[in-house]
Amino acid sequence: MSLWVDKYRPTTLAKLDYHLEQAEDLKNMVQKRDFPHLLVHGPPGAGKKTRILCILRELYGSAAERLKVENMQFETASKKKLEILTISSNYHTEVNPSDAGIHDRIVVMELIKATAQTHHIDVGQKEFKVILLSNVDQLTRDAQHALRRTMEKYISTCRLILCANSTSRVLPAIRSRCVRIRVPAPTGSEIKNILHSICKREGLHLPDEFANRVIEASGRNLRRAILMLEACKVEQCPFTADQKITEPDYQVYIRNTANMMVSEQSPKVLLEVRNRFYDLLTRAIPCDLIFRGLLKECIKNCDDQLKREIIGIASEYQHRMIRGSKPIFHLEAFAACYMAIYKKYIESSLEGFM
Amino acid sequence: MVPAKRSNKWCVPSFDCEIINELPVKRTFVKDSVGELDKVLPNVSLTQNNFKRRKHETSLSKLLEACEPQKLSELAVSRQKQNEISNWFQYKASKRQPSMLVLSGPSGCGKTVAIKLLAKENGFDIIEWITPIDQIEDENKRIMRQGDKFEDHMIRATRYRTVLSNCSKQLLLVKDLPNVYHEDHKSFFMLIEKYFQIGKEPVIFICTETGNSRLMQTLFAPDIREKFGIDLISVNATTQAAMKTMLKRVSGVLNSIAGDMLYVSQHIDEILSNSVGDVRSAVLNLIFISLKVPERHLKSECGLREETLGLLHGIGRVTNPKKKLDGNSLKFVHDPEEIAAFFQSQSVVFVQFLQENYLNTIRTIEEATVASDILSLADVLNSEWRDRNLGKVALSYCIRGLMLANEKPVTGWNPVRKPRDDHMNIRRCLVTAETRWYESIIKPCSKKTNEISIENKDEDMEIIIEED
Repeated sequence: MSLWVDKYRPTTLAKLDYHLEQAEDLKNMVQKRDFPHLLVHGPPGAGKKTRILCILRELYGSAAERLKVENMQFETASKKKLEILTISSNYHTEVNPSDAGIHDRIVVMELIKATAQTHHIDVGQKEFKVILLSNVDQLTRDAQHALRRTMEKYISTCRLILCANSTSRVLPAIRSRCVRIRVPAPTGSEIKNILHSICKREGLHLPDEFANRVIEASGRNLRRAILMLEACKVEQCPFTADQKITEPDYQVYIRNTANMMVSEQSPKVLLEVRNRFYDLLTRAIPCDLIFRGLLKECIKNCDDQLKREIIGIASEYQHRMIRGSKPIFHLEAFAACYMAIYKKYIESSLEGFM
Repeated sequence: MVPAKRSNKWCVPSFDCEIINELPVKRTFVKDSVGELDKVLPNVSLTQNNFKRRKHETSLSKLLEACEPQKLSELAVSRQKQNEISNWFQYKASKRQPSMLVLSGPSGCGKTVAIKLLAKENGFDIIEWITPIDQIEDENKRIMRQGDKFEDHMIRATRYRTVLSNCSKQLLLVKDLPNVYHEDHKSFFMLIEKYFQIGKEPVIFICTETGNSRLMQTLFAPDIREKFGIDLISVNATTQAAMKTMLKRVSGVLNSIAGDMLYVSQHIDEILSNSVGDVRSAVLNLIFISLKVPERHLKSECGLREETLGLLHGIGRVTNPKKKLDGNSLKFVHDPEEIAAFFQSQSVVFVQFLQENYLNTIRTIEEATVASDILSLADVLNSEWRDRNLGKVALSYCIRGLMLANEKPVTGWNPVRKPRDDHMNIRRCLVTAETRWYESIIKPCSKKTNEISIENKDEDMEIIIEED
């Protein structure tokens, strides 16, 4: 049995629940049988991937849903072998090039070349294939430049659909070569409608108040909202209004880590904090999520002057984390720096109190 | 003229070499110059004579020369092959007709030495072709092609006899063919044809059978040899027994002429077991291995570093910096630059180790802040691939910074830990993390299987994510 998230995912543009006007536009675009490269962006859980898959389905029919998972091999200039997981149908290939780390340039170039160099012989099919690149904003600058060149070269045989959270880290050159489609996060009432419809189809009753609480906890992230709902269902089946909503464990973990940093400032605590960071990193939690979670907790009991200082530091170290290669260095440096500042702040406020 | 202040040592060996190596024509010239020197600086020639009588040779070329066999019985080539070559000299080469011999064999089996010695025995003068390195110009200052020059040499070099030699007969020896012929076989065959028409003196080609040289198949293929009547003698690699007698003889020679420099005897067996029928390399190895290190060089200062610093010691020195009083200021016992010099090639690893271990010896959070900031910047520098020197800069910065930041290191037993894997290969993705967490609640059974095989979990999760 698949998760509700997958089970109740709309498969055609006509079945989409919100942003209907945009769906109509997409449908028109697909029916013209040709479109430029697309850059789909929006916050997590807004339905970017759903829309992309709907476009593919609309383009190629149900054949686009016959997927096969394949490990593609690439060789870097230094003869290092890379393996990348790709998901492909006859008509499209989906890959997350940022999996390859700093070698993503090769993946982008080779993949596009391999896909775009062959035409479809099938008459009556589209004369182009689609390459779906996810997390484009995590690509290195190099890969993005390579992408720009290959995008122009192979426009006759392939279309790219790029998927990103934010366009700020996508090169302007790439942005200008794509039609940008922003998928905003659904509003609270839209999420509520979806949750209600899912519950109806599952034959469950969803109290209004509980739905509101789920939506608030999800932060307008539809995927998280549905996942939360299903998790709650497993824990307590007939929903009640004041039911406990399970938060993701990493959020709790990050919060506790931040609390440790607030309660005591010493190298020993820093060592413990480091261990907790390692725990988080091994569970594939994105580093910027850790940064954000920490910061949110850390600045809760600070005055405005201190907030400004701490946010400045956090942004500095996050920038370094992106430039560097070992996230733990920068997380730890931020933690140490925060602890030192906070200690000074507490001491000075205690002095004033005396 | 040699100025008087030139040291004897300087000029004598250089003359030594010339006298032995140069052609007879030059020998007279050298003798002249020695004579002149005699008049001007009698002591120079005196020392030269002394030098010749001396029993210690130092130049390698002279040592090797001394090792060359002087008698037929000393040759490493087998008696049977010697007879074959000898017969060729007597029956083919002496007929005053163009005749050609190809001598093939693995490198270092004594082909050239055998030819030289046997030619001398049979009264031949050897004229050897050596492919010139510079461009050759003819009398009109036009640049000649190597092939043309070689052809000229083949046909005409033996026309005129040197006045000085006392041998009645001459032969041409070709060891290195001009490279043109490796490609252009046809012109080589034409050259051979021309030689057999108008050439006079016998020619010997020496072909070394190395792995990639296919001269025997291309230039001297069986049908070609048959066509022109070229003789072929192939020499086998030196046998162990022959090698052993040869090495014994050579060690005797070496001990007598360079006894103060070499001490030979005990290494023969060692060399013997390592040689593969290559006399030349065996002799070279023998000389090398038995070089005596003069007493005064034993305690030489070559290699400025007396110690090699292990990784763990290096880490210890940085995380636990010791200071000593030097005048009024404190000074590090171990120079940070020196530590950095040891680990230049493994900058990234060293910085990782430092990061893992620096907190153990740090006393206050303020110091930790400075140190962690330094490490964070060092990581950024290390990740910058556009300038490879930045790695060294980062290392030096990091070592210095950590040593300075740590005012009063915590003493105690602090084992150095290995940096942990921070799982760079895991895909960091909010979607993955979120779905994985909730799925573990929704499907507790799948969680259990996931725990059993972490590898599988990762893959499974990624597939699920990709499909949504």
